[in-house]
Amino acid sequence: MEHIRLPKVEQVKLLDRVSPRKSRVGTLYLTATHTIFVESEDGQRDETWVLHSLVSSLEKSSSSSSSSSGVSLMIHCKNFQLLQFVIPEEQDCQDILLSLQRLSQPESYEELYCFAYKPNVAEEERQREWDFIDLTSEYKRMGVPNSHWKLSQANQDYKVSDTYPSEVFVPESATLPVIVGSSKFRAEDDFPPCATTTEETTQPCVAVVSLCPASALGAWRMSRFERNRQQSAGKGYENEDNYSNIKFQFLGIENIHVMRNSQQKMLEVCELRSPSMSDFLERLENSSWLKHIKAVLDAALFVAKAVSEEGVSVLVHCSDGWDRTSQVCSVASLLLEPHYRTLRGFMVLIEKDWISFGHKFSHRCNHLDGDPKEVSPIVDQFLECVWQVTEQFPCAFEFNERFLITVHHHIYSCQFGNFIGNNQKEREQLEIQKRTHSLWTYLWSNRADFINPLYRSNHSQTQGVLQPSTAPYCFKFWKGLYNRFERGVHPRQSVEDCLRTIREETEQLEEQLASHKQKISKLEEQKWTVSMNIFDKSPTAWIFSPT
Amino acid sequence: MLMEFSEHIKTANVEDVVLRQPLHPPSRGTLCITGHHLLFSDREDQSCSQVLLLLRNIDAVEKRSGSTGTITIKCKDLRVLQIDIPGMEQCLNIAHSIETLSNLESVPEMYPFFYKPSDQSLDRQWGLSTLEQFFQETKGLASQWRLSTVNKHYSVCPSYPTSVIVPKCINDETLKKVAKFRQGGRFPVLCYYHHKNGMVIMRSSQPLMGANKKRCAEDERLLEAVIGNSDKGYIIDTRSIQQSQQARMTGGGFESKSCYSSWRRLHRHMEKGKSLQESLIKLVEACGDESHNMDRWLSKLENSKWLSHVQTALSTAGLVAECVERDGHSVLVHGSEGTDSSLLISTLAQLIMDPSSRTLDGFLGLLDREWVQAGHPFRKRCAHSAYSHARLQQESPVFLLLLDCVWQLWRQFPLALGFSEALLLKLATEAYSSNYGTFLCNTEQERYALGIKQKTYCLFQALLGPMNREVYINPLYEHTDLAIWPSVHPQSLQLWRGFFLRWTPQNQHLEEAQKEIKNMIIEQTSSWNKLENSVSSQEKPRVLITGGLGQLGVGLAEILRKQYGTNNVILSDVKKPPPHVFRSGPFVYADVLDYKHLRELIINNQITWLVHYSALLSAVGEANVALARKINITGLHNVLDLALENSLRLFVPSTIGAFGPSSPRDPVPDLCVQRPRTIYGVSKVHGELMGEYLHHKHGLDFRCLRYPGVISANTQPGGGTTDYAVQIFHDALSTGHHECYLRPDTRLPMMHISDCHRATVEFMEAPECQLSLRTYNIAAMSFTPEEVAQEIRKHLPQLKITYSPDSVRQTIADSWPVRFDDSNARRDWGWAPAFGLEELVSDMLHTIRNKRTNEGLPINSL
Repeated sequence: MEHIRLPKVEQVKLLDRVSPRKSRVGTLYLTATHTIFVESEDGQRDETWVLHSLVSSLEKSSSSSSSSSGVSLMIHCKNFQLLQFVIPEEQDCQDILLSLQRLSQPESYEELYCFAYKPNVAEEERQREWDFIDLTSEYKRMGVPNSHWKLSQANQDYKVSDTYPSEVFVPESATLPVIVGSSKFRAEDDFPPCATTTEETTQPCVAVVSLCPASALGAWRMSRFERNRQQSAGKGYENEDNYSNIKFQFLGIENIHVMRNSQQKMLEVCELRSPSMSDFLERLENSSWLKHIKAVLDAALFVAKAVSEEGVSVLVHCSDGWDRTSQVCSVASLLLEPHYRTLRGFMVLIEKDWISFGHKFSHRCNHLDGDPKEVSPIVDQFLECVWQVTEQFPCAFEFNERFLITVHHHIYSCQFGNFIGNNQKEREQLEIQKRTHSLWTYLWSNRADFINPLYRSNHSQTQGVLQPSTAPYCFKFWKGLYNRFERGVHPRQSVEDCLRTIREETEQLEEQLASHKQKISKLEEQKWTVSMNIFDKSPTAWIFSPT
Repeated sequence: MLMEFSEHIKTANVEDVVLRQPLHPPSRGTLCITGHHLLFSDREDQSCSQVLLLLRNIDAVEKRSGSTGTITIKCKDLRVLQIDIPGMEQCLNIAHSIETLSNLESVPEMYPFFYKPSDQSLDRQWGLSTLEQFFQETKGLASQWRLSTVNKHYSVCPSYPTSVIVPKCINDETLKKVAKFRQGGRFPVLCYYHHKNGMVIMRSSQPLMGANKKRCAEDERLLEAVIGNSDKGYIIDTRSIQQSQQARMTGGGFESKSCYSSWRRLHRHMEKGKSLQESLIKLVEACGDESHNMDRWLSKLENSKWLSHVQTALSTAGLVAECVERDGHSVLVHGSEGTDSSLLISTLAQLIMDPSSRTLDGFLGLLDREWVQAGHPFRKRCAHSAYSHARLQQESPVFLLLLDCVWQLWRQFPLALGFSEALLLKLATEAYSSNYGTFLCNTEQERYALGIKQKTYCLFQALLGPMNREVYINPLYEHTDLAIWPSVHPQSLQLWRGFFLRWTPQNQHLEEAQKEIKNMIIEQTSSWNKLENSVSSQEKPRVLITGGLGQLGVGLAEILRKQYGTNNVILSDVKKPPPHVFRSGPFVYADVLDYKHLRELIINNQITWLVHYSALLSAVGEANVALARKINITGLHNVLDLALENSLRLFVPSTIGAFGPSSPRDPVPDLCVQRPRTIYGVSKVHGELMGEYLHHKHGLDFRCLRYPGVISANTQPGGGTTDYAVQIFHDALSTGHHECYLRPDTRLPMMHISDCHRATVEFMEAPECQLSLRTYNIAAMSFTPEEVAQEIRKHLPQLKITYSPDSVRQTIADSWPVRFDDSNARRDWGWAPAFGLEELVSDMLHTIRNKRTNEGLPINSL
């Protein structure tokens, strides 16, 4: 509360960016967790709520050309909402700006919304929320441990790697010293665990996929000198002489800084007020965003094909192992395994490849006031890759676009504990499971909103390995996410909602039918006993006797 | 084949050709070229597949020579085929023929003049609605507007139809003068009347003001009349201000403010002609780019400008609609010639505002009026598409741009349009090459001169035929009276993948999704029907009995009618019924092979139960296997389909005949090996299996009883193997001698007819939850000829019986079980027979004796 300099400003205008005539006047409130705008028009009183944790940047500009009186305050949100207020008094605007700056960039985890978020849920139930997604049973489903992969205790108490979970699966033959040694060799102590298994894991051949572009890590045929230099600097790639039976492949995915800048440019395209078609396409091209999305999907498809067609195990790595690696492994898993394309399976996938393997959510999503160079839309790209694939295979996924957008929203909202911190160890220290709620149960209990009505578990598209095309024309601009709040650009009628209604109606009809049939069979039973008497059974009733 | 064609064909047939086409593996076969088609038949497997390509569809042919010749064929529907032809000379000949024949200029030689679909006749109405009909059907029009036939000889405007709608107060003489002041004679005519406020959309060509600013009083009067009581109108000029100014240099121009003071002019620059064609060529080229480079794709997409044209067209149409619907003013649309962009804009504006143009019929009607009759020069514009190497002449994909814009509307309002994407794709193909005459010419005048309406078929009529309609409607369509305002933000507009990337595998996944949507609708409808049937079935069933004049039908009908009312049970057969049957209740003719008629019967009579007695029995069936197969199998399939479709409870009798020599004989259980040796038996097993399959797969309420030999005094036996057991009673009471066609020890299961009927009714009434099986054995007794003779002798001691076994029937009987195990029927639905041998014999003798007495026939042994 001490950060709120001004709790309320009246006569604030909320501008409508598409049609300025529709702008609204009302009161702006600041609370500990939200900015709230309440329209003051009689009978309207529309409310707009913005969570402080979703605010990504603020812009104050005194010369608001559209309305002569007042100062404009622009709020850019991490869920791509863009709000422009006009506040009559310069000082009020300044106070709001400073308050929001502080509120949206908390200095410690303790300030995050998830620790304040207390829905009306019994403590017992809250605890159960955290059992909803259970990785042990997921590993069981994958069939590990088995004769080739074993559960390793090496990382108990995060002794070996801070960013790995305490329980990991490693090859049977790897002993404790090997794992520790391996982790020392790799940057940031990530040793290669088992992300997804298929029956082919027993193959001796392993493909090593390096996700860094050749320019970043050096060309494949980099001079030995250069390679040695890199190795001595502590970073590098597996020396092919030391790994027999191993194929190397470099797939160029740019680093987090490139991605951050690219998204920034792409968002500028979205914020153009009424661009021409050429403007839009040109700037979209210049942002390179879709090029990066394509690179991730290309790499994932390469891995999926290596596993499914060539039957080799794949070791995926980049420089640190929690960004590009997570992206590529999780998208590849999704292509390989129909299970991950279900609602629950997708939650498991995020839990496994992102949360438990140490994607630095709090750094990348800027949950706290931190190093802006650590911020990068890595998880946005993952979700977008998934969306691009769902667009190519409309019947293959149990969840819909709304689900992906909701997951995205909550990765940034800090309302749930799942994505707080940068690794499992931090979450344990923060006692996330004891003090916050889990997103997964929230999503599950609202699953009716997130089901793709076209999904059928026995549809041909749901079977087996998905092989999306990565031809450039297959990639679309994801207006559902990046222009989520611009109602004008979305289809005015939704096929999906219509189909959902149809499906619900069909289910209702079937239910009615079943209950009706039951009623009838009861009636028939009665009628039947009556009708038995209509027939004159001969007095000499014949008795079955096998002669 | 016409001589003109054969001279172009040096090689008509080539063997051993390899065809590569999108979405299919390469295949080897024979290539054949005719006057209008390229035919490829693949005879490698048994699955003989054919590709028939209209030569007119071919946009470009490219030859590549090597050891074998390769021809690449690029079609106007954007498909690209590759053909490897063994001999170089043959290859050149084929390529030459394709090139010549696909570019034939003479309209009467084109395929629509040769096309003869079997399901349509030429004397049907050509086109959907004439302007006269449109005028009459548009309510409120007649008060201010009139239909003019000033153009009846196409003399005033060669590109207009014979009748047009103009303001009532403007006479034909004035129109003739106005026509002289407008390019190509295209004077302003009405194309849309907005019911809600009486405002209209007019279209025309540019006024011929020229460099010296000519005026035309009649033209000004006409437009003033359009304004009527309103205060102003809008002219939407589809050219930029500069362009319309420049047009004066070539004799054209615009409506100046000073002369047309009530009209406000708005300019929206729309690309047309050559640059639109080039845009299409660039876009198609970009879609074919295989470099997998994202930057390159986006820049090519941008560079083609196609989506910009889509954006402009939709936003200009939106502007027109806004003027009419929101602003409440009439609009005149024109550019220069008034045959391209003007039509595009007026059509889109109508779709935005007018719900009646958004149905399948309404949309095709709109295209007929606004494009075909309004004189869009299809032949010139669609002569070539994006691949052609020919020098561009007057090609321009205006119509394709329209379809793309409609597709964008369809994407944004997926429930508001009554037609599917498939329709837009079909139209996009047909405009360039077609079996139909609709898009052949440039104007109505040309169509009239060539006799198009007499000599070719109409595409629109064909698309509305019953089979096509199902393909082309939008299953999600919901009527809305509201205007559908499209969003023209770049984010809202998309590349029309269905068309431009139609031949890529990705498109198939999307098509599957459309199929899935259709299935969901079908599922919902069927749930509805089931529920409705279930509700109505709570009342008395409505029963249809097929083959009702056989041994069992009449008797069963009698019992059912007692129970459910005479009119609820309909007997049917292909024969004429005896008078007493005809009098006893409803009887209709029904042939189980006539699916449509049977369906009609079921629907018209709200049938809920169907008893399928129609069949050829064992001995007769063996004598005519073909007929038995038809009636017992084809007929059954009809009945199964209908029962499923209409959620009927279906009873099909099986019999002892469904068993064979390898079945257990004493007793035979419900489930066992069934390998009958008669066509009758085979068809019965087939019936049992099909019915049970449909029950398990689709929930068909299929019920089947295996009858033993049925013994009845009232009906004559009908060619079965157990018929001796009826005949013997007749003989016993007449001649006193029976010659039996079976051996004395041939034991077979038998049943009295009243038990058989009762079993049928009880089984049909049994609640579904009680049935653990769908096919049950029912049994009553089992005897040999000798045993029944012995029992008869208890009443008629003189009965003589001789045996002369008939090889056919004896063989059949020997392959059958001697006893049925019906314990499941007894357990599940309480089956118990009333007649044993003793009761049977006394009842039979009693009944036949009475019958003979009544008919005045002598009775032996009394």
